[in-house]
Amino acid sequence: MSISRILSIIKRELSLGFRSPMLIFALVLPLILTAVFQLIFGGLWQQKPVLAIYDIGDGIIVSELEKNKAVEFIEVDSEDEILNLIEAEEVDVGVIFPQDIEDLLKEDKEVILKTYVDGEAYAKDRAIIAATVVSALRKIAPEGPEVDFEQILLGEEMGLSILEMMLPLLVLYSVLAGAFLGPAILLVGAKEKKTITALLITPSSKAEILTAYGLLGGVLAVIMGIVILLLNGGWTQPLLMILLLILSSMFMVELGLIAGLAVDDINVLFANMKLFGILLIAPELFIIFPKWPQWIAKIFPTYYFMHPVLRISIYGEGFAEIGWELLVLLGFIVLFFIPIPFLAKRLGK
Amino acid sequence: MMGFNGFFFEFKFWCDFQFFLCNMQSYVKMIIEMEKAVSAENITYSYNKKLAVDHVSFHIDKGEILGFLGPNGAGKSTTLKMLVGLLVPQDGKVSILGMNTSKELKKIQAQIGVCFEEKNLYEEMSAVENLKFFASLFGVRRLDVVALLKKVNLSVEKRQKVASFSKGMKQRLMMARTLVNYPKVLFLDEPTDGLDPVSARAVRDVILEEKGKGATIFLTTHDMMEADKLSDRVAFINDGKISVIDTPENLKHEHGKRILRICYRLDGGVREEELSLEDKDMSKRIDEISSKYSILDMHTEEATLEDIFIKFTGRKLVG
Repeated sequence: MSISRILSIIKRELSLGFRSPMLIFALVLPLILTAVFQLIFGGLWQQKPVLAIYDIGDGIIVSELEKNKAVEFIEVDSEDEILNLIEAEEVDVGVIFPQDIEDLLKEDKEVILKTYVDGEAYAKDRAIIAATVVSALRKIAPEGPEVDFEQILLGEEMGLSILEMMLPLLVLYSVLAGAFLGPAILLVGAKEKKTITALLITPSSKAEILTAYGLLGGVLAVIMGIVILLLNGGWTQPLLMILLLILSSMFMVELGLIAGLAVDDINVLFANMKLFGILLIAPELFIIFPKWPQWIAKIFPTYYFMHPVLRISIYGEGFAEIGWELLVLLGFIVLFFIPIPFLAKRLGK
Repeated sequence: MMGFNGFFFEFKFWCDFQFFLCNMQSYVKMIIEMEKAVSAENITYSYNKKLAVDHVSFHIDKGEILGFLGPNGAGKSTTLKMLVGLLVPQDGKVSILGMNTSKELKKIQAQIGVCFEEKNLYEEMSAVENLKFFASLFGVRRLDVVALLKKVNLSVEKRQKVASFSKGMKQRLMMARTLVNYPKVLFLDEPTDGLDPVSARAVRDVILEEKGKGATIFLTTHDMMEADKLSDRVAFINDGKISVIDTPENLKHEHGKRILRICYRLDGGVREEELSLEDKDMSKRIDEISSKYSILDMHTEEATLEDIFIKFTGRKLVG
């Protein structure tokens, strides 16, 4: 296997820039899809979470909170006013700071904050507000006590925002576009234009050609996965997320190579994608409809990519919680590698 | 003791002599093999149980051009694909430059140049970019792209995208691409098919220039004139089998019908008569015609390769 030949093939594809359909699919379409989702469901231009504060004490916490620019504050004079504002959907969360809060902090006693939460408030907004409040309390008493929120939910619990639910799908698409469509389009295109035979009569081996296509698609997929997560506010735990993106890209590259080797016509490739694409995105349906039997989602290989995305970026879970899902994904990678050498024998004939 | 020694000496001598003879035989065989740039032995290939190439054997000596002639579907391209390693023979073996394609294919491919009938160039790239890219795959770092493009008359268009090229320009670029790795053996599949006379001439010139440099060339074509002009030997392939393989001169001499065609004026009209050059009474008949009639035209006609092909295969090359 010659690295210089692999790099030559990759360089050729990259040198085409946006004349290459592969690069359009890998780089442009995920961004367009994100922009469309953001425009429809909000996100990029989403308003800040709104917190109503009823401080019975001397207001020292309010002045500390107001220094934070991530949250918008409304100071109210009664508990009823908080309830009214939440009912009117003008605030996401309302917090009542007790009169003796400063003393509690200084005496290192447990602080219990009564909190009203709008059931329709996004999980991420709730998390930002909670972090902001805790941070403000820590500034007053750096070695301060444990803070506990006594939450009262108002209205029906929504859980995830539409954009949060769609995040795994968006990331899946960015990986799919680069890692699956990339190698598949390059292979089918090379077969259609017969350039594959021109490559095969050079010292380049089939393994080198497939590695070059796979590597190009895979790297683009990981980069675009990161970009999409950043744009949608889902970029947390970078190392774990990169590991997940690399494994997902490897799996998608294998699927792309299988499709590219099996199919000889670009129209047939896209027809098959329409036909079997539902199998790739099926786990998303189980995220949107959480009351459906979740075990069905686990049948689909992409579940072991989409579900961890959700768990890492939205729920902040770590390797301990999603490790086994990554292991299953690794199993699929090994399994789907098996047919590639057999299908590669067809190449150039 | 001496007698025994003498016997022993004699016995050893004959052993050595026999050993020498055996080795000589293998040395000669090796030298002959070394002279062969391409060797195909009983190669066979079938598509869906239909035999495309049926136990074909031939060799090409170093520096030789072998014209591989046959109509469409005769098995020319399948044979070429087996020679260059795109297809694995289902039977038989192929050796190029003394290496077996089943064992050392990539080493072989580093030393050969292949020009396909299909114009499989990267159309979105320029001529220069195409050549540089393929040179990089061969590990050729210093390629004189300008000289190569000049050789195929594409110097002016070197920065143009291949998509804007005519068929002839693309074919000339294909020829240039075939040469990026300075190949020892060239495999050319219908290199002048459908080209305008200028492009066809340019391609033929490149072929002859490469032969002049010592390259071995396998040339498939259904253009008899081209094969006749370029080839040292020609092989006729039909229905996957080689009918005959020899030099064009030998084929014409042995299998051609050599005739003399005479046109003369007879009763106010023109009459044409064919006389066989092998006919003993030919000169008598010429004397008879010249004494009685006014001869308008008289010329010999050699058999063409096409005539010989038809004689061997019972079918025409084209159509």
